[in-house]
Amino acid sequence: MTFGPTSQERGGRTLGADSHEQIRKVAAMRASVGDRIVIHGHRVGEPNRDCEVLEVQGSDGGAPYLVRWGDSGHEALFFPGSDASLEHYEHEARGNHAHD
Amino acid sequence: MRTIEMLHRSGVGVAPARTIREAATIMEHAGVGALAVVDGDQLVGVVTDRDIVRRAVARGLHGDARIDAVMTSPVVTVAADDTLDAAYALFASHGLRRLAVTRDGSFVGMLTIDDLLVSLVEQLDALARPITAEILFAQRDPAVPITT
Repeated sequence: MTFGPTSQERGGRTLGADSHEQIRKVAAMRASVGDRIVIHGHRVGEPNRDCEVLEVQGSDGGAPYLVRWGDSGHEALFFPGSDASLEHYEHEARGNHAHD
Repeated sequence: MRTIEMLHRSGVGVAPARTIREAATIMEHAGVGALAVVDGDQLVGVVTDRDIVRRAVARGLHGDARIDAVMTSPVVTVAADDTLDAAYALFASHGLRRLAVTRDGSFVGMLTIDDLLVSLVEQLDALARPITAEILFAQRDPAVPITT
């Protein structure tokens, strides 16, 4: 499940009907440890950046997230906005793999 | 329009015990000019790049000092569901360039005066575009038939 800005939002700052939906999705974002958050570039040619969720610090399972930036390794608290999208990874419990 | 709808960038924060050097590095790598200083769920302060220059570097404060030594506290905030009028009033009355947006008391993002300026320019552009088109491309009404 991913949330992210629409192509209209990526290309410009004018938000239309998608803005309310995007805000709703960001408010409902629930990341887990190990998930990847992608922050989309704000200007033409600006690359996307990503970070890994290390800790979920919100009292209700939401933001803030303690994250580690993929390009620098620095850690900080992250409060997802409309420029962020979540890539959720299913985490298998240890011991579920069959061993030969 | 609500203030939450004007937030186009994710917010970044640090704990109060992080160092000034760490905070400056995070600002650089995250591409932001301000960090929320968050203690658990509580927004306890805001620190900007300007704060680091004026309150830390200019005063010879060591880079390993805590960031809460140079943050601004208490924080002027606006609720996520407040209208932009409320945000405008706070920007004007406090002479701010950034305003912390909160929901149920928790930090959700940083509204900057740049966000408002860009929005204003876009609105003016939308107003001016049809007028510009009218000036640049002569509009001719179809000839009115003469009736006798």
